[in-house]
Amino acid sequence: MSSSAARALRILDEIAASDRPLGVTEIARALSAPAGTVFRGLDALTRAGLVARYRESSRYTPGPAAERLRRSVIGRFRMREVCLPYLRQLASISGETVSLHVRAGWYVVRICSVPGTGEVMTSRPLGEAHPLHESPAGQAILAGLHKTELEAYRKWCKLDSGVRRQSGKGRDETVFPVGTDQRVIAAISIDGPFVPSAGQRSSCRDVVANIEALVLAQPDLFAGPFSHLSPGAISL
Amino acid sequence: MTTTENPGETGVQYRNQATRRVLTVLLALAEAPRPRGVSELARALGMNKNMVHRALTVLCASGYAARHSSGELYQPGPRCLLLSRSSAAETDIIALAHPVLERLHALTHESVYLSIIVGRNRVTVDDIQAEGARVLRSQRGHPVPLHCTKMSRVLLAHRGDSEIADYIGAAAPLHRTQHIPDPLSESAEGIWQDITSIRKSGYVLWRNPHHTSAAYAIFPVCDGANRAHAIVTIGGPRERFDIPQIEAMLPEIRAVLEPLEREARLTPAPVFMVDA
Repeated sequence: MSSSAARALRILDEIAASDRPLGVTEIARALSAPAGTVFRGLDALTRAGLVARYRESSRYTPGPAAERLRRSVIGRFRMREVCLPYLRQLASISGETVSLHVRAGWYVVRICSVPGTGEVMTSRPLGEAHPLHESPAGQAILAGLHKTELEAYRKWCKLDSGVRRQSGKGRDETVFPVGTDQRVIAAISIDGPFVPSAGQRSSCRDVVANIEALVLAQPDLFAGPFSHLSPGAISL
Repeated sequence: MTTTENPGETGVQYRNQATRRVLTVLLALAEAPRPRGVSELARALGMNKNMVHRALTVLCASGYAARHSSGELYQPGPRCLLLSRSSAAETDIIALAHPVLERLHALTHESVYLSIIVGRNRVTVDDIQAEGARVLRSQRGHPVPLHCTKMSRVLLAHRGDSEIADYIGAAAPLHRTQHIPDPLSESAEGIWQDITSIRKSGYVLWRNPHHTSAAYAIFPVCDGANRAHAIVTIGGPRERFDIPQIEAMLPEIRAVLEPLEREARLTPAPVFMVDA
C-alpha cells in the first residue's frame, strides 16, 4: 500500500508547490518516476478531487477537495476565530489587509487574513508558510523563542549565524508580536505600505494588547493543533 | 498535448485501490471538525481497522495526517496547509456589506455605517459619509462599550442570554461613556429591558430624546442562529430624516438589506469574547 499511495502524495506535493499547472511529464521528471506511474497517481488524486485539470488541459492544479482539506486544518486553529474581530479593527484603522501568523514547528504560517478598506488591496494566500527567519512575522516569533529553542532552530535550518534574537516588539512597525512576557505565540502583520501616524500606532498597539489579555485569560484557545508535535517533525 | 499526458476521465482502468483507500481516509479526516480514531474511521468508511491503520501510517509519514494531542486520535496534518494557493477568503462581512451600504446611501442620501463587536465594544469598520452642511459624522475604529448607546445594544441583543450576562458581569461597574445622558446604560436592569424591546422588533428606529438633531435606523445582520455578524445603521438629521420619513422608506430599505441578510445567515458569526 505504502509505495503507490506515498507516490500519489508526492505528486500532490509537487502540484501544490507549483505556482502554475503541471503536466505528467514535468511531474515525472521532478520525481524521477515513470510517466505511467505518475499517470495512475494523478488518476487517483483526480477521482478524490484533490487535483483537477486546469481548464480542461492536460495540466493539473489542486482540486476542490484540496481546498477543503486546507480549510479544515486552518479551522482547527481556534485562535483564528478569536482574533478575527480584532483583525477587522486593525484593518479598519490601517486601511490595509491584516494577517494573523502562527508557528507550526519551525515555520510561520498565515492562518487568517482580513482585507483592508483602502482602494488597493493586498491579498496573500492562507496557509503560506516560511521558515521562521524568512519573513518579518516569523522573525517576530523567533525573537520570542527561548535560548535553547533558538539554538535548536539554528541547527535545524543549518544556520550558524545570521539567526539572532531581534529586539522583538515593535522591531518592524507593521508586524506586532502577540504573546505574554514568557512567550510570543503569534504575529499580526499589516500587509501593505502602511506608515502609521502616532495615533494609529497607539490604536494598533491597544488592539494587540486586548488580544494579549485574552491569551493570558484563556491560553487554551491559543494552542494550535500541532503545538504538541516536535518542531522537527513538521516539514512544510 | 499528447495522449500519454492525458489520463482521461473514462479511458483508464482504475487499478490502484490501495491509493484510493489512503486518499479516502485523508478526506474523511477533514470532514469532521474533531479528531477521529481508527475504529470510528473503519466503521464510517467500511474498511477494516488494519487498512485504516496502514493508511494513517502513510499519511502521517508524509505530513498529511498527524496524531491529535490526545495521542489516540488523528487529524489532518500540517502539510494540508500547503494544498491550495487561493488568496485570503475569510467570510468578510465588510466586503459583503459594502455594496449594500452604497445602495442604502443612494436610497437615503444619509450617512451609513457598518459596525461589529470587537472584544467588549462596538466598532464602526466601514461607512459612507453623507455630503452636505448637516450630516452625521462617524468615528471609524473608535470603540464604544456594548451597553452604551442604542447601536451597541442592538449588537448585544443579538447574542445569547448567557453571553450577555457574562458581558454585563465583566463590564461592571456600568458607566456611560458618551457625553449624552443614557440612563439605560447605567444598570443591568435597564440593559436587559432594552434588549427585550430590541429583540421584539428585530430592528430599531431611534431618535435620542437628549440629542435633538439625529435619527437612526439600526438593522442587525445575523447568522443562522440569530447572532449578529454586524449592524447596519443609517443616520441623518431629524429635519429631513426623522422616524416618519424612515418608516416611509422602510420597505425599500429592507429590500436592499435582504441579499446581505440571506448571505450572512450561511456563515456563523464570530465568537464573542468578553475577557479582553
